[in-house]
Order: sequence, then structure tokens, then C-alpha cells
Amino acid sequence: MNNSDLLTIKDLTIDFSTYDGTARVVDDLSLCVNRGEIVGLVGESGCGKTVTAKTVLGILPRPPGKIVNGQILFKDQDLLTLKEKELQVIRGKEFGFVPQDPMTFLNPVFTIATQMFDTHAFRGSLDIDLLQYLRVSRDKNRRTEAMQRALEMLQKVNIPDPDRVLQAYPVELSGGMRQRVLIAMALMEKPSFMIADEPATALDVSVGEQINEVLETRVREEGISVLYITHDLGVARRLCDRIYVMYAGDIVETAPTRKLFEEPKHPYTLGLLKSVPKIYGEISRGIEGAIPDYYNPPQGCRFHPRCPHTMAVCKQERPALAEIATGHQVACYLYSQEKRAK
Amino acid sequence: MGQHPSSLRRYAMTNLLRLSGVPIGGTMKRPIGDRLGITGGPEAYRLEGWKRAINRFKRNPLSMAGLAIVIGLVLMGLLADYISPFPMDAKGRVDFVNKLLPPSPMHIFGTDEVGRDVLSRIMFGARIDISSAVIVQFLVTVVGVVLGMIAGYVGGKTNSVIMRTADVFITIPPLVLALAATSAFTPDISTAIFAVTIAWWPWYARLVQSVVLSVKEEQYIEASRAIGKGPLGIIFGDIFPNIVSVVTVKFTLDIGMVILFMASLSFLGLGVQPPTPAWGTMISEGKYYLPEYWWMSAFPGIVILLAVIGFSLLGDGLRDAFDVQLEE
Amino acid sequence: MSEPLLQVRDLKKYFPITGGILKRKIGDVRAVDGVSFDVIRGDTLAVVGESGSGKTTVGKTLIRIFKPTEGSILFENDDIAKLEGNALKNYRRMAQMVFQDPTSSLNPRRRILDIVMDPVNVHEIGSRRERYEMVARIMDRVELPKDFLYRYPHSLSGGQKQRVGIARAVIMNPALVILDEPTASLDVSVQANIISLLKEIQKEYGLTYVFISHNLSLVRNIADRVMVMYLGRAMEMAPTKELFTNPMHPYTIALLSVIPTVSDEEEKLLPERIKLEGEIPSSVRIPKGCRFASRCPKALDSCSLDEPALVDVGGHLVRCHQLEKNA
Repeated sequence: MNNSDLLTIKDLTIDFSTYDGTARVVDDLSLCVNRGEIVGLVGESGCGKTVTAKTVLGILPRPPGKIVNGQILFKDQDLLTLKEKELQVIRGKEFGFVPQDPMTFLNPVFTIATQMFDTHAFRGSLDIDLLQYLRVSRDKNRRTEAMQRALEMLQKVNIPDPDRVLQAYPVELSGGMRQRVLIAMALMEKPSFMIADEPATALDVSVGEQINEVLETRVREEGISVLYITHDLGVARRLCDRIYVMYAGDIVETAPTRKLFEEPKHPYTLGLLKSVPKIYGEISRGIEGAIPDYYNPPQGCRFHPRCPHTMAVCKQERPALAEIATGHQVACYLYSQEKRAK
Repeated sequence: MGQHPSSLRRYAMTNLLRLSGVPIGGTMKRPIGDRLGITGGPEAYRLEGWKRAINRFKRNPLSMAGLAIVIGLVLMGLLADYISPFPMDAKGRVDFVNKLLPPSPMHIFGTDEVGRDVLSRIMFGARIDISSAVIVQFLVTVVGVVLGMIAGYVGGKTNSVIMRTADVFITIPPLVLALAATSAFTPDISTAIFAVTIAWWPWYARLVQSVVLSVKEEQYIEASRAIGKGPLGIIFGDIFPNIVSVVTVKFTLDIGMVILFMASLSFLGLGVQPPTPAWGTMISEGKYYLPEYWWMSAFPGIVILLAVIGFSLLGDGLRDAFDVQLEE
Repeated sequence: MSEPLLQVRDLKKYFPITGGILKRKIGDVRAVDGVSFDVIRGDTLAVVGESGSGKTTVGKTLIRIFKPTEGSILFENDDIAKLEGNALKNYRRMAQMVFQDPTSSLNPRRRILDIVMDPVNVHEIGSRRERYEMVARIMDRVELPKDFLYRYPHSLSGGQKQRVGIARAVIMNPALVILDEPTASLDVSVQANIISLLKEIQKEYGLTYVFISHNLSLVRNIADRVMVMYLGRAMEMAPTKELFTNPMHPYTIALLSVIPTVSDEEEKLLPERIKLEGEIPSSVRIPKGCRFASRCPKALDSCSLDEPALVDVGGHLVRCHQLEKNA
């Protein structure tokens, strides 16, 4: 965590209160994204990565979510202390988001052109009323300017026939095409930071590959920092500069990509890597046990019930994320005796 | 009506729910644990859905209020003979000396134009109104569900025929339909029941048909076909549980509406005949004496309102409590 | 032990498209457009492809969720493509399916007990007591605690639900099990678990699998033979190890090249990354000539003239004009 940080999350703790009690879905999580980096947040379903992403964007539904503790520093401003209006401005002007399912983010009854125009014209504006909307939409100059930009962006994401796509409705486009449109929309306002939530997961392998490549090229070109969320270690390895491995609401290991795959340390990381089916024909039996009950999490290290190397101390207190080599941190008593500060 | 309304309703609900596999106490098959001696003991047999549903229901004050009102009204009707101050007033006694008395400690709701105690008549009226509404609902549900399921599952021409027939019945205003039916036959309670049934069934058929249509495309239906289940097995085994909660809720919610509707029919003189008390008839008889002798129409009207509210709250509460998917 | 359990010949499944006011047929979606293969008893055949390849349709046609438009499916020497009525119901005892999405393939309003017991009830296998015993045994085998039987699907995790799906498919001890991307919606660690379970069950019960997937590294770990499909036709078929060490068809090579790997060693085993341009054409308007030509990095003009046949090239069956020379 240093001065070239764009986004820093510190000790974020989020609770969800439901019918069955209170679940601590994110527990004391810290991570950072530097300028110009693609940082991977890797974890399986239920680990809290989407909740974290939504909290950064400020779209976590609360209630039932509740931010118990923590800071989210973006360019040295704590997003959690901002009012909704101020957050909207930052969200509009600085953040980009590429979702997992393109269809839910595109309004089926409007053409791509309309939606891209709206994004361009109203990004970062506060509470637009109907009159204002109509006035701006009818403004010919703004329309032309926006359409120019839209075409430009569509070309940049390698859409072969941008005019046709602009006039189309989302249902007329394939999944890969829609995702490209969303990337284009995210890039349109030259954000400084982007969150990509499993953008290639819902697509075919070859199409997903294209999407990831387009995304990577464009963000590297503009120097956009990206938090890339995925459950696929292989994809993270291809795209990301640094990776955070998340389990049960917290980071268990983080390292520069090469290091993580060459010298994985945390038992969960090891378990995950072993579970990935290999081309030379090897697949493990998975990781014993199941994700913890967030309403009643295990004491101490949240992974200990599933860990083959559990020791007494693991059951009592949570290990801290300790640095064992440059840039490589692990939260595990096998490597460090540091305990989490209370 | 010989049937006690509450037992009728309970019987209907129990069987509907049981058919769909919702675990209900009593005649449930013995737990597999017991049979195989593996998990052993009733503790292992968690009637999870049932217990949770009851808890949910209890937790909601509105649902409990609805339940209280309904139970209150039903008990009122059942025990009318014992708790009404002037039971004979509902059975034909007249007392011209005491006619048109305003509400007083002796006659809490006052007396009507022939001296009968309004409160007692309201209590007896509960029998007619509630039980006939339940019977109507029962008939309507059976007809609507069967037709709706056939229409939804078979599709094609059968669907068109059934749905268009339903549409015809829907387009005719229910009151007109009911009037036509009752004028064709002698006006009494069974005619009224028949009339309301034919006016009401299309809504159920439509509801069921739309649920069936949406469920039909689900993958678990495909899975059932892959196992080798025939259409009947799929309709009753797989699709039916999906419509149960919807239909049960509508059933309960509508009882209130049916009471209202049948009261309208009685108001027009097409239902129950004097001297048997029914809330609608009472309002009708009292309308000539408004506004000075307001209590004769007002109190039955208030009770109808109470019944509708009670059943609505109960129905909503049931839906919230029982929908398995809502538990997520 | 090497007689084929299943012999599929020239299987076609078209879905008619109707249009206009009169709902006349204006075309066909040719989901499966002529596929032939054998499956040896006890083996696992993987059917691999992306969306639009027709792999799921093949699977569903094999268990007669769909009726084939053309072609024959010989199961133990009976053509099940033509079966109806009771004969079809009997076939269903022998061939079952594990569906892709465990959440939508289990009826949310029914208890696990009812779902797992369904097959033996439908086919009236054994007495009532025996059926309960079969359910108890299969729950043990898929490593699910028996008190899950009284729960509803929504209170189970994805992996647990899929085990229920497997229990349902296997409880009757069928001969053939079609697995339609059974782990696609599951996490990596859960996937590994389920795949191990499937492999163990296959050995124990002597099952034959047709494993449909788009995940090639998974296929590498479970299949004996692989069939790569594109736009309704097979492009390459070979024993698994062969396919991975010596892929021939350009599509196969492209698919292999984009597999995300987790180590350098693995990466070295795969072909150089090939970026396929464009997207898969629509199954309504199948291109003339080789179906893959529009995206093939090695395509020549002559490839779009007529469709290549599936020929044997060094033990692989490939459908490619340029490889035909090496047959």
C-alpha cells in the first residue's frame, strides 16, 4: 500500500442481517489496487467477492447489508463517508463496471445507441428530471458528438459492424457482442478505475477469451486500474498483475501473479490449484468440507475445519495477513505467527 | 347447511396441501428413518417447511390478526345457539313490541323492524355467509384448477377452447351472470352458490393455466420426462405443488370477496330467503329505514367488512408463510 | 468387453421455425446435422463444443427428450430413435441424465426424498419398502446425509443439489448416463469433488457415460474418447490422450489453445494461442462448404465449396479438406 494506490480497502467488515440471524460475509478485508494495475480477486461462490465489489461501487443493498467497519479510500477519499450525491458523481466519472451477465445491464426496450447516449450524456450527473432528460436528448449537437464517441468505442472493442450494432436492440445481439458493448460503455467516460465481475464466465471459451483480450488491451492502453473478479484461476493468471485469493470473507493470500502460481503457500490456494483439472490428466478430490456457516463461523482461522494442517492455534485466533516475501502475503500460522489485531 | 364451516375449510385445505406433498401432521406416512431404523426417532424427522412456516406466520401480527378475526367469526357462527342473546330471533320469532330499538345494553346492536335482535341474527348469519362462501370457493377451485391444468399442460386447441370459454364468462359482469342464473331457478342458497361458481371459476382457471405454462418449461419437468413419467404423473406430481400455494392464497383471499358477492346477491333478494338471516339480506331489509334506524344495515355491513379484512389478511399471511421459495 | 453399447448413425435433429400469420414453416434450426459415433460399454465419451455446436441436443436426443428427425440410435441393438409408448418407457430405465443446472433441474416444491425416489416409483421397481432402501443406499453413495431427504432443494448448496441429481439418475442403475455439463455451474473445488464421485460411481456400477462439456481440461480427466462438435457436426473424434497430444482439426487446436492454465508446464503442453475471429454462425443458415471455414485460420477458398467428410487420419476421425490428404 503506497502512494500509487488508486483504491485501498482497509479492514472492511460487512454484516448481513436476515431472518436466520446475522451473517458476517466480509470480515476485516484489506486490499489495494495501484494505478495501471490489473488486480485479480479470486474466490469461489459465497466468498464475498461480489459483495465487496458492490460495496466499492456503493450499490450494496443496506439493509440487509450493513458496513460495520472499514474504509474504502479512492484517491484518498473515503467512499464510505460520502453522501449518495457525492458518490454518484465519483461513480459516474471515475468508475467503470463490467458485469457478469450483460443482459441484465442492458435495457431490452432501448437501442444500443440510446443507451450509449444516455451513458455519455448523463454520466456523473445528479438526479436528472424528465424535462432535463428530454432537453438533452433532443440536442442535435450532443447527439452527434455522443454517437461519434459511441462508434469510436465500439470499434475499439473490435465490433465489426458498429453502425448495425448501434441501431440494434440488446436481444438482437449475441452474448459476446453484448459484453463488448458493455465494455465500450464502461470505457466511454475514460474512467480511472474499473471493476470487472466475471465478465467472461457466462460466455463460450473462445468468445470469453476475445472479451478478456479486448478488455486487457484497452485498459493497458489507457492505464486504467482494474479489479478483476473471477473464480477461474487460469484466467486470473493470464490477465492479472497481482492476485488476491479470497475465502469466507477475507483475503488468505496475495502475491504477484507469477509468484502465486510458482510458490503458492496457503492451504486453500493449494487446494484450489489442485482442484483445477490439468491437461496432463490430474484432478484432485477437491477440498474437504464446505464453506463455513456465516451465521456461526468457526473460531480462529475460518479455513481450519477444512485444512489438512490445522494446529491448535488455528482454532483459537485468526492469523494476520503477514508478508513472507516482497509483495507476497499469507494469512496462515504455517508461515507466520502474527495474529490479527483486535 | 349441516356442515360446520371451519371443519369444511380445514378438510379442504388439508387435502389440498397433502396432495401436493406438503407435510401435514396426522396422516403423514411414517418417517423413512423409522422404517429403516437408521436415523431413528422423531427428532430426525424435521418437518422443516411446516414448522418454519408456522413460525413465520406467527411472527406476522397482521396474519395473526386475520386468523383471529376468521376464527372469531367462525366460532361465532358455530356457537350462535349458545352465545347469542336471542337465538329464537334468528329462527322466526318476531316481537313487534320491541321493534326498531336503538343499540342498548340489552340489544347491543339494536333490533330490526320486526323486533329481532340484530346481534343474534348477525351471529347466525355467519353460518350461512361463511359456509356458503367456502363451498363456492371449493367448487370453483376444483373446476378452475382442473380446467386450468389441462389447458396449460395440453396446450394447443384444448387450451384455446378452455381459455376462450373462460374469457366469455369473464366478460359478462358477474352480477349479471349471477342474476341470470338465479332468475332461471328458484332463488335460494344453492342457486346462489351455483351462480357465484359459474361467475368465479374462470379466474382460477386463468391463474392456474398461467402458472402451469411457466412451470412447464422448467428443467425439472424435462427431468421428469427423462425419468419416464407420463403426463398425468407430471401434472399431479410436479406441476401441482407449484400451484398449491398460489391457489391456496387465492382461495383464502377470495372467501372475503365471495362473502361480499353473495351478500350482494342476498341484498337483491336472490339468495337466502327470510326468515333465515344472512348479512346481505339484513342490509337490504334495513335500507328502507335509513338513516334514522341506521343500526339495522350498518352492523351487518361492518361485519362483512371485518370478514373480508380477516380473510384477506389470513390469505396474505398464508402465502408469506408457506411459499417455500420465499424462505430464501 | 468392447462391443458398443450405443451406435449412433447419422443423427439429425432439426427444430422447425414458424413464421407469419399462418405459422407456416420457414426454416429449420439444424441443431444436430448428421452425427455418427459409437460408445463402448463402460467407457466415457466426451462431446465437446461451444454453444451452438449441438452437443446438448445430442445428449437430449440420446435419452429421447427430443425425438430424432433422422438417423438411428442403436442401444443394445434396438433402434431407440423409433420407440414409443411402453418400449420407450423401458428404455428410460436404462438411460438417464444428469442435468446442467442443479437448481432448475430439481423441483423446488418437492422434497429431496420425492425427487430421488421418483424414478423407482415411476417404473415401479421393488416394493415400497425396497424403494426406501434404495433411496437410503443411493444417498449414502453420493455422500449426502439422510436427513437431507426431508429438505427442499433451496436449502442445499450447488454441489449438494448436483449430488441429488446424480442420485436420481443412478438410483435405477441404468446402463447409460448422459451428463450435460454437470459441473458447469459449480465452483472449482466442488467440481473436483463431483467429478471424482462420478468416476467412482462409474467404476462401481459399470456405467457408460456420455459427458457433454465445453471444458476441455475437465474432459481430459474423465473421458476415454472425445468428439469435438461444431455447428451440428463432428469435426474431430479421437481417443482422449491422442486428441490432446496430437490435435489435428484447426478448431480443436484453437479450443485447446485458449484453455486457461495454472502452470508453465501445462502451458507448454498446449498449442500456441489462436484467436478465432468472429462468432459461430447461426444454425439456421449453415454456411456452404466446411462449416468452420469462416473462422478457420487455415481456410482456403476451396474449403467453402463443399463440406468435407469425416475421414480417418492416423487414428483420428477428422472433417477437414486439408487433412484429407493425409488419410
